[in-house]
Amino acid sequence: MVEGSNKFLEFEFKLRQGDFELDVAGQFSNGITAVFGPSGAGKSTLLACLAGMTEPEDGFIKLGGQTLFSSSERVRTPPQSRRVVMVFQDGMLFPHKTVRENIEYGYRMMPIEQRTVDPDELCKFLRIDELSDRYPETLSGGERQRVALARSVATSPRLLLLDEPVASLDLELRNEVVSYLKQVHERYAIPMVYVSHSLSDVMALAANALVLERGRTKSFGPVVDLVAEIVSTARKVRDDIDNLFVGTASASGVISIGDIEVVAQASNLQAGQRVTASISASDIMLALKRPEAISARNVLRGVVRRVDRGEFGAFAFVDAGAEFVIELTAEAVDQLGVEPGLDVYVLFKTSSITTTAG
Amino acid sequence: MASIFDITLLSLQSALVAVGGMLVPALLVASYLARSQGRLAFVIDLLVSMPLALPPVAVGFVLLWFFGATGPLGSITQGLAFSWVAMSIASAVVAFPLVVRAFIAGLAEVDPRLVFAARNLGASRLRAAWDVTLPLSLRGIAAGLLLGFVRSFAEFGATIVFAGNIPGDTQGLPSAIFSRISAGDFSGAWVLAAVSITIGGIALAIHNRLVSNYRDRSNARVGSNG
Repeated sequence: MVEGSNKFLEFEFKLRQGDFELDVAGQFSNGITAVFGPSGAGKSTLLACLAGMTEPEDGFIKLGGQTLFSSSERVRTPPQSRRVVMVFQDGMLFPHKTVRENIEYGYRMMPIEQRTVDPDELCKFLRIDELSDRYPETLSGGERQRVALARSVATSPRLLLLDEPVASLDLELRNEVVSYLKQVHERYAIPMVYVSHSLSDVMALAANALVLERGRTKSFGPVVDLVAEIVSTARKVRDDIDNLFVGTASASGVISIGDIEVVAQASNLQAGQRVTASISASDIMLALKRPEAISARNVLRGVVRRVDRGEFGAFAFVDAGAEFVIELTAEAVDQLGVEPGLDVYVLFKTSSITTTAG
Repeated sequence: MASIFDITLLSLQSALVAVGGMLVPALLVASYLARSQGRLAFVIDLLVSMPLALPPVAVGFVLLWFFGATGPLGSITQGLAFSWVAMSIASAVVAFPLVVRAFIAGLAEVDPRLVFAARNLGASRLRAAWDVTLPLSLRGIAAGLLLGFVRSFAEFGATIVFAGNIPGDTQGLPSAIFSRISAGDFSGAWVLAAVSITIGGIALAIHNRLVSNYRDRSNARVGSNG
C-alpha cells in the first residue's frame, strides 16, 4: 500500500443538475478510497467533476497541492491536462482501434518526460500482451476491463478514477480484475478512487470510504468502521445490493454462480440465460449444523471470513463458494460464537432471491 | 443545343460541388445542434431548416436578392447569379437541412462517453472529435452526403430562379427536362428523365443501404445488451 499524505486529493464543491444537488467535501489519501452509495447518490457526477468533464458551480478541487478547479480563483484545468483518468464500467474501449492502439492512445499524447509506465511491460503484467492486434468487440468481459485498465494506467495518471469497473463482470472475473487493480496500485503507486456497489470489492481494495446519499456526504472514514452504515444505506433505498451475484440460469430455477448453485423461483428464467441474483443480507440465516427437514431450499456450506459489529447490527462475511454478507443481531453473534474461521451453513429461501436478466 | 452527356455532366458537377461545399459547414452545424439545446440552437436549427418549409422558388428568389448587387454581400457577389456556381449554391441551400439532419443522426450514434474517454486520456476537444467522433460516424456522414447529393441532383425551383436555364451554362437535367416539355419534345424529356431516374436511383439505393445497415447494427447492439 502506498503510504503518504492524507490530503492527496481535497475537494469541496456544489453542483445543481435539475432537481439533484451534489454538495460534497472530502480529503482522500494517496491510497485507494471507495465511494459508496445507492444509484442516484451522485457517485458518477462526483467522478465527472474530479475528471473535469462536468464543472461544479462553486468550490475547489486540489490534487497533490495543485488546484485543478477553483471558483473563487477562477481556475479550470481542462480535462486533458488533469491526468485524472477514468476506468469505465464497460471499458469504453474505442471500437475502431485495436487493443494496442487503445492502450497507446493516451500514452502517445503524454509528453515524454511524463511517461513513467511502459505499456509493453504493463500489458505483460496484466496478461493482455497477446491481444494487441484484436479489436475490442472480440474480447471477453474480463479482457476488456484489463485493457481498459491498461489504457488508463499507461497515461501515468496522478489519480485513477474507477467507476464500477467490475460491475458487469461475473464473480470470478470480478475477483480477478479486483486483484489486478490492487496489484496495479501497489506496483505503479497510483492513487485511486473506487466507486462500487459491491461491499466485498470495497473491503478487498479500499482503506477508506466515502458514503454518499442523495448528493451529500453521509460519512467518511475507514471502511471497517463503515460496513454497517454502508449496508444500511443500501437497505434504506431498498437497493438490495449487499449480495449481488451474476450467474447462469438453468432449467427449474437453478442458477449457477461460479462453483455453487442456488435455487430461485423458476418463473421468468430461461435455461442458459445470464442473470443477476440479489439476496438481501437480512434474508439470509446462519446455522452451525446442517439443518434437516427445513423448507429453505438453499443450504450452502461455508466459512466465516470476518465479522463486523456496527451501530445498526452485525454483519458476517461468509465464503460459501461465493461471498455472502449476512446481517445478524449482536446477540446472535454472541450466542452462536460467530467468528472468523467458523464453519457454518448459509440458508435462504428461493423467494428471497430476486433475479434480473443480464 | 448541349448534348445529353454535357447536361448530365453539368448536373453531376453542380451536385458534387454542392455536396463538397456543404460538408464542413453541415458538420459544424450538426455537431453544434447535436449537443446544444439552448435558444441559440433553436434559432440556428430553424434558420437552417427553413428551406424545407419554403417553396424552392422562394429560396431562389431570396438567394437572388442575397447575392445580388443590393444584397448584404452585393459588392463581392453580384456576378454570381446565373452561373454554374449559382446552381451549386441554390441546390446546396435546399439540400442543407437534409444533410444536417442526417449528420445529427450519425453523430448521435457515437456514445458520448467514448468522446469523454478520449478527452479524459488527454485529447483536446478537436483531437477527440477527429480521433473518435468522426471515424465512428463515418457511415452517417456518408449517408448524409449521399442524401445531399440526391437532393441537389434533383433541384429545380431554386436553381432555375437563381442560376437561370441557360443551355450549356446553367441548364442541368431538371431544367433541361422542363425546357423539352415546354417545347413539346416529349421523347427528349423522357431520355433526360431516364438519366435522372438512373443516377438518382443508384445514389438513393446506396444511401438506403447505408442507413438500413446502420439500423441493423444499432438494433444488434441493443439486443446484445439485453
